[in-house]
Amino acid sequence: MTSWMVGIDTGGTFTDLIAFEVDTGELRVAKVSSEQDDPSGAVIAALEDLFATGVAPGEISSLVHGTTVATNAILEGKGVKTGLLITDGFRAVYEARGWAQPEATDLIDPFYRKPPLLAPQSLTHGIPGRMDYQGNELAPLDEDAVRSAARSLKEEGVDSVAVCYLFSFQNSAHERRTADILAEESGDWRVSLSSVVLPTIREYPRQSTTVIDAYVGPNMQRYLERLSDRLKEFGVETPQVFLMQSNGGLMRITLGARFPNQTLLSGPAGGVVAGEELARITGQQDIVTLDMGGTSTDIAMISGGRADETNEGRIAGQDIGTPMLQVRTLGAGGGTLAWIGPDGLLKVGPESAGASPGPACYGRGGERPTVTDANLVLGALAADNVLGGKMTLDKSASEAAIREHVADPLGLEVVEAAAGILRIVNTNMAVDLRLAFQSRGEDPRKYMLAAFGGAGPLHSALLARDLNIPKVIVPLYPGINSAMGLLQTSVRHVYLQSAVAGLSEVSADRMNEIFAGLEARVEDDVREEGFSPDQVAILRQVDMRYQHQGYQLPVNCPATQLTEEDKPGLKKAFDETHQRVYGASAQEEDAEVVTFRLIAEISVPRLELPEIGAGGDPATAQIAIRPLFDLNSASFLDAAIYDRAKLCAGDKFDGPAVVQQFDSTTVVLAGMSCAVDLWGNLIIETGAGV
Amino acid sequence: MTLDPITTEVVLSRVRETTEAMAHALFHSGYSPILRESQDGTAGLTDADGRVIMVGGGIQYHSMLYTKSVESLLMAYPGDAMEDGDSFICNDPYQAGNSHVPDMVVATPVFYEGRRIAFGVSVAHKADVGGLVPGSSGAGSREIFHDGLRLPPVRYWTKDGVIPEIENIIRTNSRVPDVVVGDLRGQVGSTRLGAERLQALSDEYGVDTLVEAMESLIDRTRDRVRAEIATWPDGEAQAEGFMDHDGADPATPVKIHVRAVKKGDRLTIDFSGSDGQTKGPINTPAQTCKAVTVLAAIAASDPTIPVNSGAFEALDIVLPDGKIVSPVFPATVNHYFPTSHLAYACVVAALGKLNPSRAVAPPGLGNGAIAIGYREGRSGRPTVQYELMVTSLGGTADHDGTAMVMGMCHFTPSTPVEIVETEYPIRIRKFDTWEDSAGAGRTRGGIGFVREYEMLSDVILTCRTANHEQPGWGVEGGEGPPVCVTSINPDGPDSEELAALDTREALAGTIVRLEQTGGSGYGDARRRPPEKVLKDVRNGYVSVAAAAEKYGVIIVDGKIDADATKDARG
Repeated sequence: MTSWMVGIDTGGTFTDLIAFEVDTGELRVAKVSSEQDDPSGAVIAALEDLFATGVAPGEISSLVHGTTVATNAILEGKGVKTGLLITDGFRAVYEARGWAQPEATDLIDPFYRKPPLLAPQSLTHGIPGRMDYQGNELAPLDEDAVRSAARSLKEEGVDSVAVCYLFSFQNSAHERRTADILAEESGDWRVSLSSVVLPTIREYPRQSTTVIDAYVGPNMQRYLERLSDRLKEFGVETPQVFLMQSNGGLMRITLGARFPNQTLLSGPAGGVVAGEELARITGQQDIVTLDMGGTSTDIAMISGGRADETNEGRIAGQDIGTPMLQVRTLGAGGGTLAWIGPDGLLKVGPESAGASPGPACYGRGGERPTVTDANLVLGALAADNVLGGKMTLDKSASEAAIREHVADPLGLEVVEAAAGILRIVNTNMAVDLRLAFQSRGEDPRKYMLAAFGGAGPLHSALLARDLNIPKVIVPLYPGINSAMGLLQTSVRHVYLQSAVAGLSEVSADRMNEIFAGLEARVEDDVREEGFSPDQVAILRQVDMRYQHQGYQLPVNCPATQLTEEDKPGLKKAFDETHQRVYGASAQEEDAEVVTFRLIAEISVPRLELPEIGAGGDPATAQIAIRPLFDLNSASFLDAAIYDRAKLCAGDKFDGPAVVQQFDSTTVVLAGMSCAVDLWGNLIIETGAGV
Repeated sequence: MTLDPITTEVVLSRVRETTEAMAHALFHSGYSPILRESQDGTAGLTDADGRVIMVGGGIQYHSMLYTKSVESLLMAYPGDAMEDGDSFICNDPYQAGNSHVPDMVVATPVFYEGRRIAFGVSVAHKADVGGLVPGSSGAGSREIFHDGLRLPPVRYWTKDGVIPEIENIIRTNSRVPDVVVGDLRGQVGSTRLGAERLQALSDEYGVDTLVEAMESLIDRTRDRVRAEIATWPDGEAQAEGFMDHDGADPATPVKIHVRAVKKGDRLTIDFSGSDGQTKGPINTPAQTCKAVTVLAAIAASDPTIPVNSGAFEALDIVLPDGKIVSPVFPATVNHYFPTSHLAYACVVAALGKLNPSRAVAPPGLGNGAIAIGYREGRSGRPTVQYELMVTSLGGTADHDGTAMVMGMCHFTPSTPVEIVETEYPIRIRKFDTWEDSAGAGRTRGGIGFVREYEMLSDVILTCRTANHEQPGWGVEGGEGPPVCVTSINPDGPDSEELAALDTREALAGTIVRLEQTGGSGYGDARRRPPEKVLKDVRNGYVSVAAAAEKYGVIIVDGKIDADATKDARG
């Protein structure tokens, strides 16, 4: 019987669907507009497109969804009316937002503004009661104050209540009792406890994260209920329906309403996961992904096969401490505008012409030059090969826009100006990439650059050469990579618990006790998802630091019960990690354990990339020769143009060359060579870094 | 040779990458909470003569001092005395240009093929460098010798590593030697990273191209500041403000006066009308005053202009020797911070009159810090807790002032309660918004806050904020906020209000409350929409009484009484 795995990625503009038939490896794709009154509408519309190709709802064996519902609720300020209970006398914690600092001109512009409070002070109530830094109760919870706050919030008609008390990560009793009282006072609201949402030290990020959970939780719940209903109506009956999380793993859709924060980076996470899959199949464990679309570029680092994580995320200015994949976004895409800055220098971005009006060459009213216009003038893009020939580009419009806005003001030829646009957008991306490497203490020469998105493969060879990265990989379907990633991961839950203590002081028993507490939460959650706890693979980590440091680094812990004898090994592993990341270590200093971390994973059916047929003669795939501008020699060179669909495993060719496909174009520079691997990936040897 | 605008942009992006990498290294290798929570430091690059090219991260008013540091360094190590691989330190404000002695400057000359092309530089506030009190910035200082260890420009590092004799001098003079030396080494690492990066960029683009691009950045800022000034009408404006007193003579307020004259593309900012330098520690070194003047000028024109030495070439800053904003040796300067902030507010006020489109109400005055010295921290070792105290921004033509940021550089240095209590034997009883602390106006200032501590052991406590007597001012008919208040055991029978600047021993059980004011108001408060006033009342920013008195909005039972409001507003 046929069995389809379906990934549906809702993006800002489009919703992408991919479906893989498990036995034959057949791929079907659909793309619909995301702009619908009800976001589940786009999902249903994409499924209808799939069913129109003959796939039956009952043939869907698993479905993974990347959603922007929670993200959009924050971006558009459309979360629910949210109340907040805090330790009495600490309203300035949220108001100050003392964590991440403003950037660029905000630093000195007196018109600078902080992002809005998602729970206003008018709906914030201080509750007497206090724990000390070790979780000892200094003052009991004032239950009457909780009741009176609950009644007031009920009168105000709040839908959701966040609770964040000081040191609740050490002792959650007051928060738990508060939840009981809130439930007694009303059954209608959703309650978010900071000791559940993010039990880690530092009250502001914990509180901000808890408020986000409260603010978007009901939206998420409504959305998922509606979506589940509609899937059932359609006859999609598989229980294997998952959401992509910001941490790159899946959770069963039934858990989604409880962990809405976990979906805030759902879309970009799919692309990073696809990068991890490339690391797995190629055996190249260190990869940096570059996902370049129309308006922006997402960059992520994968080291040792595992993508970097952060717990200092920010969505629309709102700080979020939930662990998520670390994705850097910069304003560089195909539609990014070139302009002359007030300093007289050529700038590219961050402003974009977007999809509408889009680049000048689209002929939709865009008059200002973009990166796409430059690529067209330089021969990297063909005028007649956009979306498989469905759209043609107007090169003379590109030339006119570049002439008027860049070349003439700077006294340059059009081609020189286009080359300048390319150099600058490339430099902007390279700067961000270098900083990403530096902040991890990594050497680009060990890495492979994975290029995704419509525009990533256009720029990747040039970037790799600049950065001294020896290899570039371009997967078979770079344009639908985020959707593909949805089908290439496992269920993953990450649990945190702060408990600050010197490593030499904290007993192994205490550490085991904390891990046991986290494991109990794993059991509860996976049972709720319908898994059995013995399916779970568990990785235990401790985030450590030297005394007085403000940041910590995760170190893997043995899977067995810890004993005192394990501590020197932990310290050594921490010293080594610190040495690698920051170039220094202090072996003589005691380390502190700050946060215990448990990562639980459960394997679910995943997409195995099918192998493509072998060939050997790329000449059969060559469709043309076209002049392609070469930045090194500042001249046009003849480049072979290949049709991606006709390339076979084992094919090899040299640059300068351009590989064209439906929704993306790959440039191979002069002096580089390119080979097609078993799975149809293009592997470009850049000649750098050796 | 003139570089083309494309190569210049490419090279400057790489220079920006370099300073960002330096800042990252600085803030991720430091040991003290001052660097990690307050970001009280910067890292950047100067040219071979010390002109500031670009500074990454951190607090921007620290960015202009490097010129003086490098000039002093070149005098101390002339000719070939500096070698590739050397790093130097200096913390004497009269030589390094730093704001006060805890701010240590590190400078690493960058050589390429034997030619000195630049300096990698960094400054960062140290937890303690000796002096009268823990934290080094005591209220009792009467000359610079009281402020702590002063180092002239001195070699600290060579290609072979640290010079232990020098490091020992620093260790010997600090109450918390490990933290200070840990941070200092982090600074050295940051500047050396900058040097390596510039050498690599010289390999990649050619040293002449790199140097020309960097120098051009200074010219571009100069030209942009001049071009902005040229768009203002010619004219003259004045502003002045007062510090309560200098800590030595509590009866005498100290004036800062600014006269700004704009003619063509020239802007003169003249501090000649300010009071003379003081005996107590509120003096602000000239280099710091110049830096805040630059920040104010850019804020009042176009904040997208990169901050570098080019701004000095566009402004004539008149600072006669011996003023409160330009003291001469051996005046003590340890409490420079609120004074420099007042100088900033005065320049913003004067320039707002010349260029009303960028006029804003001033940020709350009274920025400062507290330093608490413990014989034993939680770790059992002596330790110093240092926290910056800020206020809030003033209202603008468009919106209410932003709450709880530093006025001249919008950091929010708020050390988490949970970090403070975990590291130090102290309890924070309150970190709350302060009702009616914002200056009233059509747009009001950002709200102020109250932070209250209870000592759990005997400590030496230094509170150094400001403007407990001299209030701020509003703009366009707006009002200033109330003054800041610091009090000991505020609700008890032995309650006592402290002067803005105070050092004392405090026993376990002592309660200290700091009330830090909000920003000033912009425009007539009686023109603020009543619904916004009601919202402020509901949010706890404005009391019902103040709504009536300041805003003429009468609120009864949580609702606006429209008729009474109409009467009250006339």
